[in-house]
Amino acid sequence: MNLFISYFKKSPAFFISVAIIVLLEGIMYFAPILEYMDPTGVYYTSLKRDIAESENNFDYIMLGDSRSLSIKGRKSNLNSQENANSIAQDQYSLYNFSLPAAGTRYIQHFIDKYLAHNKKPRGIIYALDIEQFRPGQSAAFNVDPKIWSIFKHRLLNLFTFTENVSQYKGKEQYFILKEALPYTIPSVRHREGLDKLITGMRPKDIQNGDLPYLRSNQRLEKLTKETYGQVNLGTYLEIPSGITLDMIQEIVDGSIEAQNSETPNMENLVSFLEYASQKKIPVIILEVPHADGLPQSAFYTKVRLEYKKIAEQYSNVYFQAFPSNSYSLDYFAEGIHFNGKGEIRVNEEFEKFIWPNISKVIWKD
Amino acid sequence: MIFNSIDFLFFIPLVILIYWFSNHKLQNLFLLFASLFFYGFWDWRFLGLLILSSVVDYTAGIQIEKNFENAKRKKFFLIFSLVSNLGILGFFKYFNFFIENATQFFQIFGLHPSIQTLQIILPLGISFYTFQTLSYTIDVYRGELKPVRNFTDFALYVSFFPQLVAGPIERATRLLPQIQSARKWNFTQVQEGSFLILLGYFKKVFVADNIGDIVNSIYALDDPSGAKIFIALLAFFFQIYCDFSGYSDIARGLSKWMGFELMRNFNLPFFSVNVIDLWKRWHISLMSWFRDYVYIPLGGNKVSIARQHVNNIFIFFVSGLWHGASWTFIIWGVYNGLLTSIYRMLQPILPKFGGDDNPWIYWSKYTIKASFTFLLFVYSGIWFRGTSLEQGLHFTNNLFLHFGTWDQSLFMKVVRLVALLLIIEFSQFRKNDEFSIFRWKIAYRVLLYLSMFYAILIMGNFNKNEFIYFVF
Repeated sequence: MNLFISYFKKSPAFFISVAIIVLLEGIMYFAPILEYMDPTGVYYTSLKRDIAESENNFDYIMLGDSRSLSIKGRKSNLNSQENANSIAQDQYSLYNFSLPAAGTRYIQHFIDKYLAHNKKPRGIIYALDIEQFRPGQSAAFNVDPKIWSIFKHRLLNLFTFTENVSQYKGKEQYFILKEALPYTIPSVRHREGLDKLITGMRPKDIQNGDLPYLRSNQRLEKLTKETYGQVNLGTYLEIPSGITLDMIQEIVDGSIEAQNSETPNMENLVSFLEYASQKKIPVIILEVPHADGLPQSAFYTKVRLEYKKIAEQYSNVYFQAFPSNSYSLDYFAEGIHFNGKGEIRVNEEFEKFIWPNISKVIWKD
Repeated sequence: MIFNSIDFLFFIPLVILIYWFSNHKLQNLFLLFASLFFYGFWDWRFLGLLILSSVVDYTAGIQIEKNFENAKRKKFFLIFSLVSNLGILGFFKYFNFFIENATQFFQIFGLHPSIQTLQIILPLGISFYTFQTLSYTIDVYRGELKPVRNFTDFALYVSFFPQLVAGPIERATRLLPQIQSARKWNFTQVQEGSFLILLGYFKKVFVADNIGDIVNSIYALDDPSGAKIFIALLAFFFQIYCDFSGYSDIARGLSKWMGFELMRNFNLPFFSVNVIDLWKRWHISLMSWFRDYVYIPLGGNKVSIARQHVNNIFIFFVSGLWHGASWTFIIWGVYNGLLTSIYRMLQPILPKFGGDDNPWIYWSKYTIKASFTFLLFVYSGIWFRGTSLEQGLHFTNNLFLHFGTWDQSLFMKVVRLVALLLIIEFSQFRKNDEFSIFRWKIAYRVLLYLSMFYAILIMGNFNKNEFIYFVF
């Protein structure tokens, strides 16, 4: 103690600074406003994480990526007066937990997180894009840091430090540990919003509560609440104007060319299905329609065959296709995500053809 | 391993803890092991070169002393060290440059030799540790230093991790005695070290790496205006200064934590009043190395004036080549050599306006001289940063003949990034004390520490890891 007092006397500014830093970081750790100041992509991840970590007991949950994110979730109408005589499918709720660019490996861990706070769902809709099964997408993060840089902010915000570290092994675990460690410091976790607050805002804006990203994140929160997890990126994001059908065609052709010689890597799907079997949760594999050309390509055909094979192997796994797995290009904003017209069509078809089948799915022993 | 990595954050507390819980003998052995681990973490295959260099100079030192009376044998061992060290450096750093230029030279005479260049990885810090070991052997040869008998001590001198990969290039006469004697925990030293480490990270992660993005964005343009090039050059000065001096500060700070004192490698070059003053403040360990081991053996100031200038330009030429095997670095070196020679020639005839007793006149003169020196040096960045002679000429042409319109917002970005650094450096300069900050009022000091800490954490650029000087 005496030694500390003598050091403090010699360098009070240092110790006071450390104390202030600890205090500031503590305040930031408990300040919910900081999450609203995160860039939209980060905030959205935190939002879905918070929903998964609160007790909602959804009947069905959907996991996928930015394309399946276009599908609206549904509220359970079981207790509603006007729906007293509703058919079975209206009784069940569906929450869309899809997240853009998060890979295939996180899903099992996300379900673990969900199950820690909620009852087992009647079924999981696995709606990942076929592109996610490209061999490069499943590489270990320490081997291909480019893949990590795409998924990084999603995974680091979705899981805690200990969760993240426990999900990997060996060298990859050390890699993740190094990546996740700085995120335990609140000012690092929220650095983009804080940076914008410090360097890009006028004091007057701050006084008026116009904090970085706050308004857009509040809007996103409201929308997500209303739609049970749906956000159609093709209309929500500002897609640059002037995108022509020819340009979309070029994107589609480019994707086909890049994938055609590749062999899909289904390991993560199989391991997830094993996991779901152990938990006794049925899984519905759903292929969300793509732009014309892609579903007919060699790679997509190979993945679809794998889907069917897997569905035959597991008694509680179902492969569910839309009436047509391809839409013409004018249903897309930029070749990948749906435009307004595409969003309406995909949701109508889901409602009419997919949901009635899904809502009948239950675990068969 | 690099200072601004998480690996290093795990490494350093462990090293410091074990270090202070060990006795002197064990400390040195442990530090050697830690240093080799630090180096091998980057690429263990090059550890062999580091060890080879240590063995060569350890042996050469002992043999030189053994044969001190036998001039021939003594010289043989010196040449053995020079050839071994410079041979390795030459192969890894200059082999391809030599081949490419030789091929081009033969082509002038219509010959087309098919000599292949090799895919050579430049070992990290080779230029630094080669010069460090050479200084040891030369000092022993000159009789200025007794050779070390303990190989651990010597190997630690060569591979001491804080300064291994980017200097400062420590002299054996300074570092070896510190290795050989026991170090004591000293709170003032730890306090100074902590400040240097904070300052170093601030310079590197906040200033250098953020300002580097501005430089890169301008250099990515095909035909930037002179105004943009001017801003890029200003920014590049701070980038290279903060990158390199930031590394040196961290190295010195870490050494202080372990009871060592390394030399100051940069002494506020921004405040130099002439080009000679500037080169006494910039990369001091390298320039003093060239002075002591090249310039003075060539005759120093004892030869004719004309010869002195030739020798001066020669050491700057070698300094350029030391920085990199390319003609742009050579031009950079020769340009600075010419500047210093021209200044030496003009110095006696430059008008002295007097009035230095009046602070206003004194500081006005100081500002004008410092600004002029700064601008002369800033221009050399066009060659240091440049990728080819054509680009250097093109940018020079635009800088002086196609200036265009001034980009105030871009300029202000640079100013915002360096403002806090300039406040710190101005305080250091005015008080002539590197740690003048310790005498600031507590509230200001706290504000400064917090600003630096959060500038690193929130606004620091963590996408670029490596220090620029690693490639030298």
